Amino acid sequence: MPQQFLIALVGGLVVPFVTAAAIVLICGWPWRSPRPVLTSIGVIVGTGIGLYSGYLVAEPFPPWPPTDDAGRFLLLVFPAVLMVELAAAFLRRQLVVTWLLRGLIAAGAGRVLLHDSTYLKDAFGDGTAEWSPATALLILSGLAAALWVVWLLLDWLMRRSVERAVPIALILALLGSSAVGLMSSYVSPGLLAMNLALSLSGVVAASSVLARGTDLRALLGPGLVGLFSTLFVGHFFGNLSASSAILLFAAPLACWIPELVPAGRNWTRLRMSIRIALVSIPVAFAVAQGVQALLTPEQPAAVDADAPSAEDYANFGR
Amino acid sequence: MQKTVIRASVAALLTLFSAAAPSRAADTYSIDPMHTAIVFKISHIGLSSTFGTFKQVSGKFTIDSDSPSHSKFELTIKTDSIDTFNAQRDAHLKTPDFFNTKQFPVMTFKSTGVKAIDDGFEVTGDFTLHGTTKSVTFPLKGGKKAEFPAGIHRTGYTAEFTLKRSEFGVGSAKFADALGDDVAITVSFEGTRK
Repeated sequence: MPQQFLIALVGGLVVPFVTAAAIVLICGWPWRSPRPVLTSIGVIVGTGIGLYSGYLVAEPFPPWPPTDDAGRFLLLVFPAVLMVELAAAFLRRQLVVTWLLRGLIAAGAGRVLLHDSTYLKDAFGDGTAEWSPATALLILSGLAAALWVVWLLLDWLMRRSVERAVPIALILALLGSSAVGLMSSYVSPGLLAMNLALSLSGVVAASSVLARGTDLRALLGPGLVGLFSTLFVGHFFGNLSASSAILLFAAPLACWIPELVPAGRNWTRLRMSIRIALVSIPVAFAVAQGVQALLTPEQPAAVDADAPSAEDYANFGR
Repeated sequence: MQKTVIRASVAALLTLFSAAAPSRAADTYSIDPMHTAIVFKISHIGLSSTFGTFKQVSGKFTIDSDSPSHSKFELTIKTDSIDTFNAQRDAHLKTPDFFNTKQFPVMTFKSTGVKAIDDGFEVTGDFTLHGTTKSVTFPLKGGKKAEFPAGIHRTGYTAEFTLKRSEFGVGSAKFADALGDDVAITVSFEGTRK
């Protein structure tokens, strides 16, 4: 395996985990009674710096202004969600304001990621954009609504339970996204998803050192928007299938199933394990789809029907 | 009567001379995509070369025989038309890991200076790929003419030059060990006019 690729892989595994964990431990001091606002700030900053440090192991910092989807995610979308979550850490009781800000992130993420692409831009003359304005509005607003609703549902679940099931579910979905991305024909979102998964893992691991009941809701926004963005660009700029993208994005919602089953509320000891097992099912399906796509033999190319005839060549020069 | 005869004679002479006049100084041709090839070669892990082509090309060029410096060449190539004879590799090349065809759907060449040399021209122009524009200079050999099929006048040229993909941001650092930076390019094209 090429050396540069190995460096990216190993750096993406170790650096984000260690960086994120260290920041959470520093901000969570004293560990027996961490201060909630400072801990939330540590979670957000740790997640962010973990992701960027893992990315920069193998890639240069994207230029400003950003020219591609990765640049727009790293310089616009992800910083925006980090800032919104930092604001939310201080505006703890201002839920309406917080959720309006999150709604703006959800509304803008897809549009920003697709900026100047052939989906929205008339690259070959008037009216040649792949999507008409109405189609673009429908698709982008539908995806924005999906992101916002999933965000709301997972936040609600995290308020009901002190388990770490939702963060772990996000990590699993990101690892699945990474695996599928690395197997598909667009590698970069796969590496980004891996960086983010390991950054979140560092946060969760470090939080286990802190006093029980530490609120990890601050990582939900960066984790979920990161998952959405890597799947979004994998599908629209790469060859990630829509079904794999949907399976991976919706996978964390499987954590809700024990809440909805009447007997589920009594499975206190097994509940977290059951949640993780349920999330693993759609992730496994998506990875299996990725493996199948990788192993599918290529189809032979069609014959060109516009080739000149034998008669043209026979008559040449006469 | 005499004036009428003189006017008619002058008109006849003018008609005769214009019919026997040499071809126009500047001829504008449209690129014939069926007889145009863009082929590139790049090193694969230092063991062999991988070849590929871009199949969708359009453009035009003007050849000014009397004043070659007024000749012009413009070419537009759809990056999505890349073909390296392997569908999986082509799909990867179209992603933002390489050409990012959804973001940069075309690469273009527009000449800024043309100089006559033996067997053709030396052409300088702006080459835009992956959002980056750089000036390139290369010899363009050819210029023979033919009429094929009947009524279609054509001429053709060939150019060979090398670019560094890193100068245009094609292929990130993580592929540096797997792929060479130098890309050898051959462009051979015909243009037609009626």
